[in-house]
Amino acid sequence: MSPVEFVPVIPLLPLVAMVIIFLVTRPLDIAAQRRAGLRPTGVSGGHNVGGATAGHEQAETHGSGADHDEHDDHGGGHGHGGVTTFWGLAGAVVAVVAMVGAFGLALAIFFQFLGSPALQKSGYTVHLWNWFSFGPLHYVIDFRVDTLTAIMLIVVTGVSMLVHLYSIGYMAGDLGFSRFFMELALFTVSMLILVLGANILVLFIGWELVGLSSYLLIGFWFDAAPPPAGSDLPYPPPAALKAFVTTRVGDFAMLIGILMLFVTTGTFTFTTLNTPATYQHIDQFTVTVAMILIFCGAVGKSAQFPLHVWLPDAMAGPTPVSALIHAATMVAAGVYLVARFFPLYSQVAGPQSLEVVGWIGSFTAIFAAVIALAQNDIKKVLAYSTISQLGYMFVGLAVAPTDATGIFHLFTHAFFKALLFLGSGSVIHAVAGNQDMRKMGGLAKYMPITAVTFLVATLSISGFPLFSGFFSKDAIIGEAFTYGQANGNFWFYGLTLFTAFLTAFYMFRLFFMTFGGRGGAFGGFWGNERQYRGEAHPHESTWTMTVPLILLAFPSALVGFWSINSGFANFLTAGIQTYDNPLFDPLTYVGVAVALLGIGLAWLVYGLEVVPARVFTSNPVGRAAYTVMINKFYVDEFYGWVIQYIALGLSHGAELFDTYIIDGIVNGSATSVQRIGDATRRTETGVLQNYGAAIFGGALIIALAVFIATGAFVH
Amino acid sequence: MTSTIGLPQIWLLSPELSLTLLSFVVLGLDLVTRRKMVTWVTALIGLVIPLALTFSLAFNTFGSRPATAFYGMLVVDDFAIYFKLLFLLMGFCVILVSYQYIEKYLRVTPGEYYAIILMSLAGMMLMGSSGELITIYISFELASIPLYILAGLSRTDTRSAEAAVKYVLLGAMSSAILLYGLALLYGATGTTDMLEIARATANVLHTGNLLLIVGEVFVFAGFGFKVSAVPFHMWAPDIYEGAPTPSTLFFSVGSKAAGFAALLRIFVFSGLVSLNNSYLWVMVAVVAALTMIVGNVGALLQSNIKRMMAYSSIGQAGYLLVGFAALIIHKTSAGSQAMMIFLFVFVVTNIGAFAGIIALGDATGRENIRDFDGFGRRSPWIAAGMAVCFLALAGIPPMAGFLSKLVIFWAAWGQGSGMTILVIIGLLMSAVSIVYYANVVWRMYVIEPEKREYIQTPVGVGLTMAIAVIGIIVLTIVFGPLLAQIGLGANSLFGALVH
Repeated sequence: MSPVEFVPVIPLLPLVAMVIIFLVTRPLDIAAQRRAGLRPTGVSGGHNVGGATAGHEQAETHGSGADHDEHDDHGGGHGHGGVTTFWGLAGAVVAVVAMVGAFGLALAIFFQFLGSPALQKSGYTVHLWNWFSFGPLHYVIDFRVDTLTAIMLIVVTGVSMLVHLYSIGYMAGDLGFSRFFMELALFTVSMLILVLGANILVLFIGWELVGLSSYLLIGFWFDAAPPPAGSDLPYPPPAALKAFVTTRVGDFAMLIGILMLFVTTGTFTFTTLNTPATYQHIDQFTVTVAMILIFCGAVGKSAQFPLHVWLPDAMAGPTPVSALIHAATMVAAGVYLVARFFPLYSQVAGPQSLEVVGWIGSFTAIFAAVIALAQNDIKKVLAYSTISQLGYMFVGLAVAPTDATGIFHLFTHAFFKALLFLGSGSVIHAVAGNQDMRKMGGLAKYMPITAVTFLVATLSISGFPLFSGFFSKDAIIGEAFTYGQANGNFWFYGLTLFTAFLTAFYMFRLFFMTFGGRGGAFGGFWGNERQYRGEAHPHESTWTMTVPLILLAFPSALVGFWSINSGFANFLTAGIQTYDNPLFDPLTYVGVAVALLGIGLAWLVYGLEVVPARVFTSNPVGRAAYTVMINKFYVDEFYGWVIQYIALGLSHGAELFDTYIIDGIVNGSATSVQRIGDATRRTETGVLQNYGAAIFGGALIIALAVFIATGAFVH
Repeated sequence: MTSTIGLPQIWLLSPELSLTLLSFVVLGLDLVTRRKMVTWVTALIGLVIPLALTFSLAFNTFGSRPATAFYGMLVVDDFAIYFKLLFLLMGFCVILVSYQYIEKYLRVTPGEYYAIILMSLAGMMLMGSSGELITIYISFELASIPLYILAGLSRTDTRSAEAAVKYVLLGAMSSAILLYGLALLYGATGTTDMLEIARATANVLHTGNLLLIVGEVFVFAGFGFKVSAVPFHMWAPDIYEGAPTPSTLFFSVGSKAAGFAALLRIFVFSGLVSLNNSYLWVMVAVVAALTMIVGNVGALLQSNIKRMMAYSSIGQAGYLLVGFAALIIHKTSAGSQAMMIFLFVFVVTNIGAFAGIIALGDATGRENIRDFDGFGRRSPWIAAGMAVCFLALAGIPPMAGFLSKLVIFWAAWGQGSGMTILVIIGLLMSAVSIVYYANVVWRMYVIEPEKREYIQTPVGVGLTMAIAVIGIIVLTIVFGPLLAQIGLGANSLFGALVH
């Protein structure tokens, strides 16, 4: 028996954990909380987001107050007073153990693939279930592992495992602790279904389920009090809804694309769909349109322009969720989708389909990077950075001869971006829920482990030589250059290169504003209490939070180097494309120079502070640009305006209808009832007669109609 | 055909017999104990007996010829067993969901309430199991009369009393029409035994026989009242709204399933669909189209959620009638197979939807659509379950509601231009239905509630919701095997024609 034959166990493990938490530990957890007086009977939870918004904490009407009393002892923000009960912890441990098992199995499968070229070529399909057949329709539920899926399994189970572990510390004391782990496990199951699906149906089920669990987890603090009007503070319920609805827009187009493919080919199975021979008698234009529509689904899920608006708001969810779902895995599902259909995009559909992918990706990359320059919320910067990096991945898919380039970046990005988010969570936890970098600074001294690991991830995403991000980003920029040579379109090259500069700049801006500052050690890299601008008392996080950071730091630093030198980078390419050591390519040094330029500039402005940040905004042009940037190019406002215009118009109409028609009927009948007074019975008999007349009349009319139709009278 | 009354015959009737017995026991318990919990639990656990007996029948008649008893009055085939199981599931859920509601809102002894439900259930089970016209009529009355009482159980509420009176009078009219129709069938064929009718119509009669046509139309109209097909639907909104909500749930699922079971039994088993009768097809198609349109458009205009559910269930009856039309035109079991699985899914999803309505009504006494504002935050679990049920009713893929709709439209697709138009109307109305189903979900999750306090859910309601949601998930997963299994039941109706 080889590991790959056990592949259905991988999603089964978190599923079992979810069921155990749901049926056993969560009820016991709730009972224990009730006994301890943490959970007032009848109130589902007393959460409150953001300790910085202590002002509205008093405004909270629910909760017995007990959970607020212990708030200060806890030290962390997030308003989750109280303690984690034994049963809450037990559920979490079950989930972590399940994830460790899943990750172990995923690793075993991965190395089995790595060692077996035959398996790489053939893949492995598990038939699970004949869903149903009716007439000529046949639907089957199958899992399939191939090289792409093997990589995704590593990413999903690995990051999920660490996020589970991290959440034990991060969510400690939250009343919804058990619910959190249940939803996290649900997400993991869904994501695994998504990557394991052997046909579009299974993928689509996973696709919708991750959307659902993302909705649940963004809105995890669903009973948080709304922030004061006009503030920029996160508010989970509308953010969750925005994410759900915005991605639905893409999904709708995607569904049409899927149906177009199904109607033309008659199959949902990837292996058949990805064989060019299937399309011998099918118009190329149809396939091109279908593939662009399917890409729309990826645009929604991966938060690409113009459907990117939901991801920054999704940061209202707990930070581990942002790390797992909105950085490492779910948002990468769009990239996975395009990679899954890569043979279709590159060989069957017209070149327009990949050009669309490239343009959307490269535009989003630079667009989001520009916005990230001006954000002060640490998670917002990371959110825009995610959008930008996802754009990179799409460019990688669009320009390279195989899907390997894009997926390579997906792979490295998952580790360093998860690390960045978990690090930011550690910071937010340390400074009592504050997310504003202007109230941070100099935190390196307080939390050295977080700072060092964060620096590793920052260097990686900035493309600093020999870190993981360097290799994958360089591959994309290099392929974009080659693409330019072949097609004369150097736009993708220019845009990705410039974005690399911006990325290095805003990421180090973030690092200096958070951990460093002028006067810190090593030229401002290692700040201390003199640079700290906040009020809370920062502290290093507990081991359950720092261990995942350390564990993620290794792949963030090394996985790129390993990939290039172990032949893994050539794993996905099936021999079509080869990766050489980029250090021998002069083009690489252009990218390195650009990254170093960005890092250096950020160092001058925010580390050494020799160039004051004011120089950017002191002139009118700079100020105008800054205003546009900080308002995210007004895309949200534009959508808000459009939606308001349409929705208001519609609701106005509906209101008129309500007032004049419905209320008219209701009031009319009410007045008539009043007028008739005690003779209500008479109206009722009247109605009854109408009903009876309808019954008898209906039967007679039908009978007559049938007579006439059949000519029965003639007999 | 057996001609004696012995143990085998009693066994064939045993599910209904034990159910009737159970209803007497439950009724008698009121005299012995004042503890309502005891009555409730007895009724619930007691249902295991008819269930076990039904299963014993299932394992004895599987695949063989339909077993008959009492000179063919009672037929136990796969079709009958399927509906017996469906009714028992339904009865279990209705009793489960009712406990707190009747204690809080109805001034009746609980034994009375459960006994009435159980008696009606016995009638419904017999409706699917009748092999003869008089039997089907008696079962029809046995199923209906308790429903009239249920509508009026809220004695202090004038709306409830009004609903009961309306229901009795309109029900009497419909049963008059039905009886007339049955009499005409007898007149045309000279027998009340369905298999004899099948033989008589196949050998002697042909298209255009006046008695047969009127008979068919009137039988259809009589059961059309039960399933709330347009134009016999007008009772539904008023009575749904006026009756106590658990009773409404029973009307919506029980009445519909029983009506369709009887309709299929009488039209297929007595060979009426097998005649060359295009007029019958036109009648059903027109009624189906009207039912879908009136139901779905009507539901859009409602502000009371029970009225909305009434129109929604009218719309769902319309989809079922599309399957019926497909059955008549195609004369194979594909149509009835689709209808049977559709009914199963409809029953489960409706139970969940009503459990949510009962949860809110039980806590606040309110039942307008507006009262569901912010329900998602006031009662997260129930609201989530209700959302699943509403989306399943709307036919959102990949849930069972979508699959059953797919199957019914697939059965109707490609059966001539008339059926194609019917399917297109059905698809359009499905799209319309998403508006009012999603509206409730939207209100539950998006609109800020007036009051934010948590809503406590009674155990029975929570359990019922759990059954419904798990049921939807299970139905979605095992849709294929279930469809194949139901195919046997659908075939068993046709199989009888061979003899």
